[in-house]
Amino acid sequence: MKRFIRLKGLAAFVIIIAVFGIFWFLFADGIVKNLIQKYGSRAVGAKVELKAADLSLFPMGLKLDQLQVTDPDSPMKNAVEIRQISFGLEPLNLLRRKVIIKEMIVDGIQLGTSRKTSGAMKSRKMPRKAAEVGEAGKEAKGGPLAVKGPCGAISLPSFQVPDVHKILQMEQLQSLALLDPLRKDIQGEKAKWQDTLAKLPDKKKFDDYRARLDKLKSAKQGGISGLLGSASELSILQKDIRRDLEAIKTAQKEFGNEMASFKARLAEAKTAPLKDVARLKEKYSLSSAGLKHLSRTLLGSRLCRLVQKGVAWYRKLEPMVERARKKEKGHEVIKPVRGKGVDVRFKEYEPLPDFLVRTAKARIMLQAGDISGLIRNITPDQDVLGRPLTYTFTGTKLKGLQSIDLHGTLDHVVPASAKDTANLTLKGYQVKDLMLSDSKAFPLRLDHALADLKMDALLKGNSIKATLTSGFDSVKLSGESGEKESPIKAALLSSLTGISRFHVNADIHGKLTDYTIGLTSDLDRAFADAAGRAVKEQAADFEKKLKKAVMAKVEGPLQSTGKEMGGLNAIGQELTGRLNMGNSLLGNLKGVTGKGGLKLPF
Amino acid sequence: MFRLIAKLLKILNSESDPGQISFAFCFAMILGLTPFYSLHNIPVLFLVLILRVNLSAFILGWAFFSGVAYLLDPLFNRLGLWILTAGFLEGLWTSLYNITLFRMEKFYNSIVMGSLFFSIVLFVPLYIASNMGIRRYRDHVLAWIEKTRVMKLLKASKLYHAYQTISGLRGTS
Repeated sequence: MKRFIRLKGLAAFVIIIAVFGIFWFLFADGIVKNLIQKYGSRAVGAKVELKAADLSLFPMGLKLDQLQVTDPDSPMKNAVEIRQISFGLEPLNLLRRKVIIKEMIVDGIQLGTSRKTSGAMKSRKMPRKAAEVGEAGKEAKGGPLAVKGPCGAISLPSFQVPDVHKILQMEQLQSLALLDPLRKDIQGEKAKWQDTLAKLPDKKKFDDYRARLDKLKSAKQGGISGLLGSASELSILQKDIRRDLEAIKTAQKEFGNEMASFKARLAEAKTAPLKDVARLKEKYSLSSAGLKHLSRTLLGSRLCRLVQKGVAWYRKLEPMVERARKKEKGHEVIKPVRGKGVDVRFKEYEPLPDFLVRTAKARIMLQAGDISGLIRNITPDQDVLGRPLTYTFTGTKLKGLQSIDLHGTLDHVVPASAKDTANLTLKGYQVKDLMLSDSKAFPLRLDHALADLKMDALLKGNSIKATLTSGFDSVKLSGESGEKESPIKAALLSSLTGISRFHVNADIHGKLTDYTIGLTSDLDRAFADAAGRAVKEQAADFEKKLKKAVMAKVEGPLQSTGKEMGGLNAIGQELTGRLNMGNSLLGNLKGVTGKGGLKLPF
Repeated sequence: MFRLIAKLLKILNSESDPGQISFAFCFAMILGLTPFYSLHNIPVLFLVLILRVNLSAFILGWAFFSGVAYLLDPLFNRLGLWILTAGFLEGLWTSLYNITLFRMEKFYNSIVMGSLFFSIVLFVPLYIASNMGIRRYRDHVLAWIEKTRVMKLLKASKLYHAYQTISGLRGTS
């Protein structure tokens, strides 16, 4: 027996297992902490830090202290900071590699706290460019206001009368674009017709014909034989003249067609300056219609950035409610979060997700006070659990906020028809010093207001549909005025004092990668009433200056093109002259062969 | 690399039973090819320690097969996936999937299944081939080397005696 068994080996085995056990016992907390930091950071794209982790075996549970999740877009801020997370684990399920948490307490959640050190990751890739994200966040069409980038620089039209000379330096005039090629075409055509004229019968040739005719006339007295010879030559002469006349007629017809085309183009070019004026006025001048969309321009970028941030965080959190999976020969194959290979899932007699938090109680600490929340069924395998994630956050009698209620579901039970909802109601929110627009052209600040807000959002698959209605009461708006303000801006600024309440409604719809934000507000009416007259006067002034400048720029090319056309007309006249010459000769010839002339015997 | 070869030659040239060395290679293959943190590696380790297998050969083999595992992982993944998704085995896997012990073994992972299946299938052939190889090496190659004039000269030299003395002091496994 001893030949095969090594008793010392048993002791060594026990020692190895014991060493592993002690190692785990001593270092488990550190390992858990490092794992959370490592994989958390990877998921968020910025540093996730944990002060301490405490893994207990009896009863089995985990306590995490001071969790900080950096905001990837602002590394000196935490997107969320949590004082403590504690939960118990079901040991038997843990042995089956299932993390089942009956109740999780998430205490002391703070949003947007500042960090002492940057939370940016060294290897972090640059944020996705707008192009990659698609055209997400573009503004609704309908106004002349330019929107650049996904939310980006929504540019306000200038309230000053734009400098027409600068505009004309930047812009290409349609009238010039028509005139330049027209002039070149006329020049080319002129050269072509001069060549053609050289080839067509000219005065010299008709003079030759006339000499031949005169000669034939003088040969009339030469007897019968002379008479017959003259008749034959007259017939030849007539044919020659007719052939040449036909060539001139064909050329004249072709020339006439081309002239008609040039005349039409010239007529179009003559009306083009006015069209240029209208186009540039539309582009650069603030119209009353443009003023109607002012609130969208002012408030839209702020809302768009909020929506974009929300979508980005939803994308980050999405794997928590639905993880990547595919089918392999009818079996569900799940890509593990880490490790190699794939896990094949088989039918469970008592199905349970791999990770499940049945209930999570959360407390969000805001400056206004505490908001308590209850989240149920946090799992990436909702299809296995058969229940969606639901959440409710409520807070009442807060400082500066009468009540808040946020509730919704993330329903991925059937992944193909996933449906997520969010409903938010804010009542009696005291807004203070809120910068509504940081646009340099028209900065707008909401000094104070009492706001009620309601938002309902629905995300079905990749399609988003959300509506937001808000009402602001006891409003005090203010803007910044400079030393020399345009009449429009002055009118707008003065209108702010008269606004004591307003509403803002928004509608977001489209794909998550390409959504449209529509924003309406009764602020627009107030602005239009206040600044409408000033806008009209400024527009008229701008149009007058623009017309003068455009005409000055176009006048020269228009005149030179007209002159070129005159040159072309001379060719037409020449063609007519030659045709007349030929016709007159042909008339003379008929005179000779007709009454009183040479009478042919047949 | 040279050290590995030297160690291998040292093991082969030792007076250990070929079966002990072959078993060591076979167990090393399981431990090396399959993911280290797998439940089945505990009994493998237990057997390695309690049975009289050559520990030096085991450690050498473990290092070797761990390296090979990196190259064979794609193969294990495909093999494991094929086995796990084979229709005729579905009942077996479903039963095992519902037993805690097998769930801990993580047999449902394609690489665990592929590498474990591969190493179990090759266990006996490797044992036989390794045993035969060691015996032939000792009977032919080692005997031939020892008969060569160079080896005789080397063995007669003081340097060789000094080396043997030092080796004896360090101890051999």
